Amino acid sequence: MYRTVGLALMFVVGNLSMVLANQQRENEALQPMVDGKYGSAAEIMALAPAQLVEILEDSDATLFAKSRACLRLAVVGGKDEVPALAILLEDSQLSHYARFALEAIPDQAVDEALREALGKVEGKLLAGVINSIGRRKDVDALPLLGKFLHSEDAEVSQSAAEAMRRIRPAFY
Amino acid sequence: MGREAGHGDCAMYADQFELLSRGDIDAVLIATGDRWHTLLSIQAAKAGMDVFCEKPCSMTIAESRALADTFQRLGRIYQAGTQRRNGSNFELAANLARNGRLGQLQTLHAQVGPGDRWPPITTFDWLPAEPEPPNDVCDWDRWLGPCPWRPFNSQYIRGRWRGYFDFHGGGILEWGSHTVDLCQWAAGLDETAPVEYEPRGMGSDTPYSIHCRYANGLQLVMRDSDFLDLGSCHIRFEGSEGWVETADGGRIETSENLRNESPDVPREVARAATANHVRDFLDCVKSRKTPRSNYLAACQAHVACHAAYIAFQLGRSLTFDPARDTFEGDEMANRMRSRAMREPWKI
Repeated sequence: MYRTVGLALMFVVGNLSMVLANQQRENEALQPMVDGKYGSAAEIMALAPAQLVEILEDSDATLFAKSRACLRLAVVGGKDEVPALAILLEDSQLSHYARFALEAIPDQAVDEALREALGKVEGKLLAGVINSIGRRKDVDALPLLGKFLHSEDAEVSQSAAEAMRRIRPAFY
Repeated sequence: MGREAGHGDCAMYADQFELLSRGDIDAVLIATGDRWHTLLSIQAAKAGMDVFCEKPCSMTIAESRALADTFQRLGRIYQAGTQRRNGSNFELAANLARNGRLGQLQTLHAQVGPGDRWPPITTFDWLPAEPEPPNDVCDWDRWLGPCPWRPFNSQYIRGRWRGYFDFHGGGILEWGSHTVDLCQWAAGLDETAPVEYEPRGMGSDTPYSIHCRYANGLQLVMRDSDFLDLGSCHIRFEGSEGWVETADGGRIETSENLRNESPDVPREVARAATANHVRDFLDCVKSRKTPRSNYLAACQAHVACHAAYIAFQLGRSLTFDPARDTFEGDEMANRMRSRAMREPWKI
């Protein structure tokens, strides 16, 4: 009888430790990421625009920190932050995050930066920049967008057509 | 699914756009995560299809408007998955508000996600990176769709994507897309949204509320607690002559003077809301009439929830112009009305 009870106990303890181990793994998987230098998402999002730009310009900063900085600059960024964001338009990992911020900033410097980026990026990143120009309804970009209407890259040509329609719906 | 539907030729697609490019489909049900809802609804409409889309129907004010504009322009049928509009108890309550039995309507109450389970707003956190599975298990890039890129973590695809800014609208949108929608419907305000939003209870998950006012003076209170415990998704309408409150359980509570006009709806009848809602959609696909949760109603209810969310996130009162979808005198709030989509996605 003692042997049976012992085996049952071992079975229960074994299963319990497996459940606890699984629970621990799940808890670890749910722990939010924290940047070693800049801290949690909430801490980064609390920084002033100039400090957010420092993150963007820090070559050692993680993608996590830079992406959080961009999200925050969408709400608090201004003309002064545009150059740091514009550089990221060419970065395959951060181009969208840069557009996320730039699209929201109500300053002409953004339109100029997006137009300039048209000659620097290609493929999906170019389609993204064109989409942002369309969202901002930048009339001055129309002559530049026309050049992409016949791009061999379907994503680029479709984005150009859509952006031109959005900027001048009556004409396109 | 094929077996369930009684035939064995149910095709599966890894690419949603391959399905949408078929020329032989009249209507689609969109039941992806919230992040894909607007984009796929618009693409389906452009492909000539009618759409039944789960709620929340949009991630931003701009998406809500683009959705409504597209369906209006193309003349397709759109039914949001806000099935309570076809739930008997909610309909009874709405009728009491509409037919004057409550007197002059004064305050509408919409239950938003209880903060202990559905925090009002989302976080900007990332979960730790895990190795991406093969594409035939989960195409992570496609799963993210128009959202900002973040590293893969299996918790997201197990349903724990809610609560993150990129994917979700917090407790305000999660339940408000149902209950604010019901309030606007009952008050005959499907074509507008409140003009003032005052958030209360910031800094903790519960209790919280957003006190809103329509241009006609009617009050709307989005709050997460202190209802009569009638189930989930409470609504309460208060007028000069009485009040009514109900929720998913089917029970209807009223002021004393209305007790004889509001019989409880048996739970099984209340539960028929979803089947009724699907029937409503299918009937409208055939008749081309407007379903109850049509594109404009869904758009405006979502605009109200997004505006409330923005007020709560900023932690200050906002004034909103529903005719122009613009916050008055608040540039930060206006910036939060839209989000750039990840390339190559666009609407």
